[in-house]
Amino acid sequence: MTVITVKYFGRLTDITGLSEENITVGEQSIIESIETQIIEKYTDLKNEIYVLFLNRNKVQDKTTRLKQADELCLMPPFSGG
Amino acid sequence: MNINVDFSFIQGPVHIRTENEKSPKVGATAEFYGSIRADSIDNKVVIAIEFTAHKEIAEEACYSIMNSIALKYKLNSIIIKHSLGKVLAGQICFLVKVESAHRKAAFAALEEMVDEFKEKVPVFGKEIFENGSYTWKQNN
Repeated sequence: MTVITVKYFGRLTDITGLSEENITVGEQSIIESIETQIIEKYTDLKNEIYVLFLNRNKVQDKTTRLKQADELCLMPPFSGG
Repeated sequence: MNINVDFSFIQGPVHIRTENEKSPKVGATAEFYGSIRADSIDNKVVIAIEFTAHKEIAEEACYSIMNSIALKYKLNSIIIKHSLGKVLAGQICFLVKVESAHRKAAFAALEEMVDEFKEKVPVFGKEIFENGSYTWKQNN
C-alpha cells in the first residue's frame, strides 16, 4: 500500500475544501492516473488551470511512478509579489 | 565575488529598514515595495490580502532566480522579503532591494527580479473584502 500526500493551493483549496490530504495509491500508480482520480473526486478541478509538482520538482512526465511518502502539489497560477 | 543573496518570508506585513551607510563597493541601491492597494472589484473594496505559499518550493525558485540575476547584473547584493498571512490595505507585503556598483544594473536587475518573482514563485493571494467575502488574486 502506497500513501502519498496531495497538497492544493490558492483557489484549488476552495474546490477541494482542503489544503492537503493523504491518498492511498496502487503500487504501480503513475501521476496521470492519480490526477484522474483526484479530478473524479473534485469534478470542478476539470475547469481549472494548474501545474503539478512532485517532491518539489515541476512535473514534466505524467507517466512517472509514485512512491511511498511522495508529495504531489497542484498549483494554480501564482499571485505573489 | 561575494554576493549577499537573501530571501525570507515574513509573517504579516514587511517592515522597512534603511541604512545610512553603504559598503564602499556599492554605488547604487534600488528598492521596490509592493503594498496592498484598496482595489474596487464589483463594487467591493479590498481591505486585505492573505498570502499562502509552498514555502520550500518558493524558496528554491526564488533563490534560483536571485542567483541568476545577481550574476547576470554583477550585483553586490539582492534581498527579498515577502509576507505570509494577512496584510492590510496600505501595508507592505513585498520588498526587493538590490545593490550594485552602477545604477543601470540596479534598475534593470530590480525590474527583472520583481517580474520573475511574480511569474515563477509559488505564492498565492486571497483578496479579502470589507464584507468578509474574498476572491483569489490574479497577477498580470
